Amino acid sequence: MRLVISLAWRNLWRQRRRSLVTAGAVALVVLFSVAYFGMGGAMENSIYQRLTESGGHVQVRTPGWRDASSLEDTLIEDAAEVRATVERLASDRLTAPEVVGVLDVPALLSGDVRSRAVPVHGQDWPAAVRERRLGGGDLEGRFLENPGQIVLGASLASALDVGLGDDVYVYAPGGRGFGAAAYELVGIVDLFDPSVEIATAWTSLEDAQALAAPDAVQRFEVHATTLVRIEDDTVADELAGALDDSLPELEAMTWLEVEPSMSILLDSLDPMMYVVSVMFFVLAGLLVLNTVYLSVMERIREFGVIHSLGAGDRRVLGMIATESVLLCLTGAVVGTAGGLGFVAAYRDGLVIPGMEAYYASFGLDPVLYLSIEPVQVAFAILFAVFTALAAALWPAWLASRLEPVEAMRFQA
Amino acid sequence: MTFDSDRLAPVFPARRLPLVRVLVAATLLVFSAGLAQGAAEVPDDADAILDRMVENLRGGGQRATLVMRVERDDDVREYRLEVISDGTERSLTRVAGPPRDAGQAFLVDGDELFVYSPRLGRALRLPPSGRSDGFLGSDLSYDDMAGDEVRDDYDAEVAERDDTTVTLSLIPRPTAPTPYGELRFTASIPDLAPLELEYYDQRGEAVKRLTLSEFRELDDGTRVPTHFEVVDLTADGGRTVADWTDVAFGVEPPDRCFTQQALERGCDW
Amino acid sequence: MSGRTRRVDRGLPGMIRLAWRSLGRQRRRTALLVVVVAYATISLLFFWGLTDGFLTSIYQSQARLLGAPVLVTTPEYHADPDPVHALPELDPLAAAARSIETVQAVAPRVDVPVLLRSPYASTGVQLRGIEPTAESRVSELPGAIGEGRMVASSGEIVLGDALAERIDVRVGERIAVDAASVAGPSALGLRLVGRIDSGISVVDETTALVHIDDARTLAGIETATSLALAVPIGREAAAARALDQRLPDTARAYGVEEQMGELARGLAAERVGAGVMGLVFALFAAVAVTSSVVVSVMERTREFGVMLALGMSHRRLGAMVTLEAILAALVGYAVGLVVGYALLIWMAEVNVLGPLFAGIWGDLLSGLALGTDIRTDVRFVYVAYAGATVVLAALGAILTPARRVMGLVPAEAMRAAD
Repeated sequence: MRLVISLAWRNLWRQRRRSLVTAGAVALVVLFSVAYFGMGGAMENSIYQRLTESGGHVQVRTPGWRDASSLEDTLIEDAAEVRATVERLASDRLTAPEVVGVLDVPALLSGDVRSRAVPVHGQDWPAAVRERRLGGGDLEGRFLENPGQIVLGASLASALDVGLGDDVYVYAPGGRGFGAAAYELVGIVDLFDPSVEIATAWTSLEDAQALAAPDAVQRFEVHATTLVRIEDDTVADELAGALDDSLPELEAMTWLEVEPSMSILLDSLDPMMYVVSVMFFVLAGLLVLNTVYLSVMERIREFGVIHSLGAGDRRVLGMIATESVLLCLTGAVVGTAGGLGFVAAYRDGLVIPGMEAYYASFGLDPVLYLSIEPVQVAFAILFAVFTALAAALWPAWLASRLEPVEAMRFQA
Repeated sequence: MTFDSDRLAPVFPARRLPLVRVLVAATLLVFSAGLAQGAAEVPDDADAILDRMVENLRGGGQRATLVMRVERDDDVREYRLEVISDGTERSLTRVAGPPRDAGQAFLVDGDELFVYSPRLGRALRLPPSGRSDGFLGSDLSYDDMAGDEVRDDYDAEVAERDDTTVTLSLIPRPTAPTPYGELRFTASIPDLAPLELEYYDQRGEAVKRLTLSEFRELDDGTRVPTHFEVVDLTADGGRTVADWTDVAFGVEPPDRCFTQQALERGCDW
Repeated sequence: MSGRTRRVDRGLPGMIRLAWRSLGRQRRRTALLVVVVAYATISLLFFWGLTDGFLTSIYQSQARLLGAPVLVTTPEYHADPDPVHALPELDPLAAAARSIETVQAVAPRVDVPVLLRSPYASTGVQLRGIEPTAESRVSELPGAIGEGRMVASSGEIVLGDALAERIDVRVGERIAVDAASVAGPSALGLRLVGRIDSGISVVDETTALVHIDDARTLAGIETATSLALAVPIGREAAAARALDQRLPDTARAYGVEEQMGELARGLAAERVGAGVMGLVFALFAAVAVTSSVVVSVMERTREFGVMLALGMSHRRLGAMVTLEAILAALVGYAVGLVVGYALLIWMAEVNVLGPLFAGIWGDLLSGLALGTDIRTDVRFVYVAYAGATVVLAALGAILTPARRVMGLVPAEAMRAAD
């Protein structure tokens, strides 16, 4: 066997240019396929990031929160203790996680004359979370800084007929808090979607607690800014499991368990990606075939000569096969190394120069996180190798059908 | 798609706010805690009986103190309310206790509803959209009975009758604005004082029962119920109990008792 | 032939004719090259057309389902969806809408916030009053009935499946609907005649439909809060713009993109991501084309050796090879553009992709409210995208073989054993 292989190598080396061209074609196909899949992975990851940015990756709530008929049924009472546990477990598994406490109070908001029933969103967003929430909109005025302040959506502010500096009266009886308060409108946020703005009223968590439920929250959200790829989501699963164990009276869920219908969005690009991938690989196939076309014609002539010199079919085919396999594998290895190198280099983020401003205008993260699955790498390699092999072996088969003399004179 | 988890996660249905419900209930009970008049002959005809019963539900002007206890699971809350009403369209309800809620008040003027909270320092008008958003509950009283629509919306039949009580079965007409399948209204004979009101769903099950008891006789012989109990018969049902402790009937509260000032500061009368 | 070339073959036009003839002589090789360039062009056009069309479809289909292809409301209503901002009049606005060619149907709607009450629970929803026949021509919701039937007249209501479950009401039962109209509180008893089962969670959880007359009673208005217009996919923006010109100041027409609100963010993000993928694709296509040219040149080493031996200068040979590559690429590009755009236009006019995708991804598509209508986008800018690739490839091709050709030694070349 070793003799066959070393013979094959010598043959390939003698035909340096042809070998390089074929191996190069395979390498290029694999490299580009891997890069292409990596980009596809980046697109899916950006969907994942968008889906997890509003509610966080893991949430802790009271059990049965979906069917609750009153505010009390959804309250986590010993909020400080629970928060400590959540922060501890989150820090164990994540780098710099952000834990947000949320209390939504159904209330009647009123300006001087007009009023609306709107849930007041009490939160304690850390700066990074706040940036993301505000990033997609325009904030007039400023965000909450002191107690007794409120930020409203632009549509809501105009429905209530209030402007910056005006008082907004909030009436939320029935809880254990004060039940009523007046806040200063310090910020008006334009989210480019009136139907969202009309239900947007933000206060600090402390203010909401004083209003309806002292020291209580409705949920804790864990925002993990380091989880940027779908494949990282297993960490969220683990965290939810650990929180469930440590907090048996409460329910810890991943973002997908909170809203299972979101899973459909992760798959939403599949049909398109599939069709595009088919086109990509036809192009790849063309590339390989075209490159190998050269050798095809020559090979037929060569086989004619070899046949006329007496070499048997099987030996020749065996030779060809060995050479081709060696060639394609070499090309595949080089291509894979290059492709994976590209994906690895940009795994932690690829920023297209000049696009940051465009992304920022939508409040989006301008970084693309490439990722690829082993199955995709395998597919790329197999496809390229298989195509090249077929292209190499076909002339051998063709030549074996011809009389040696005809083969020797074969013209394209 | 706005698969924002905030937006799709259910904010509770109906946004029930217990204290407001309590206030509304008190208001409506007040309108309907009427006087059972005299011992006139009880007719045989269901419609005629119904007319008399509905009449009895209408009181004149009144002033009362109400102690209301709301029980849900293991949570019990007790409120003391002071109610002034002109018997038809206007009522003022103020919370006297517990101290945390004291000073909150509720003014009904025809179709308008105003709320006041001392912490807020001002009165708020409940907006049309706020009202329809479920800001108010209305399942604690005779709400389905209050008004002329009863006779238009229901078909009445005598279901049971003996020497001391008569029970009417009220079947809502197809377009009646009520979700119930049947109401069973029991009154005493001969004065047709309301004793019990049972609400049935459209599957034959009772879902709510309102019981009136502890009738007190006033100076002029009329009997007035002073204890109301509403039991929610569904799975996670609770109970609301109301006791009239201090009642003056047939009075005419002055107009100034139904103003914004009265809402904020009370009405001395 | 040394030292003297025919006059007609001198200069650039002459060179081009030479290159052309040379191409014609090697039909198979030329054809292969042209095919590769054409395919690269077609696939790039198709990549962009499909990507743009698909992404747009996903987001716009949501807006179409929850809103309408084109919606006419007062500007105040757009900012604050409350019945108090209803349309002042209907007939003139409907007439203006019908005057637009692409508007296929006009359906008035009354949206009003209400409280639904069953014997067991109550919940607040946004109720929609519709005219049943008109509405079924504008929206697919009426067709998504699971149990029962659609609303046909007053006194009837249809709820999303999940919503009906939440308040526990069965088909045939009556529920109470409370609203606070502009004229005071109002209430109706309505019979549940059907439940909507669309497979789309937000629809099944929040849909409540009644006859428009009932909604008008509840809202206390006589006109409508909006006019929903049926417009074919892809024509919404143009129709909205055209209609806007013909509407009085009191009303405005909003196309799908304007109704998308924050959905537009997601669409923008995915467009950019797709753009980057397109870059990889384009680069790859350029490499494929270059390789084809390189191969084609390499095949003719012997032939070049002969030509050089017969006296052709290296420079002329290099120029001819370059020109051949450019010409073949241009032909391929032209063919690719024609076939590619024909394909795109066909798939944009005729719903070819829909049934294709529905076969494999039917559940996914219906969950995304995409239905079975998927079209490609056709934009002029694709010419530039594809052209850039071809130029890149041509450059690559020119630089490599031409330089190689320049270094050929005739005798060795003629003997090239490849």
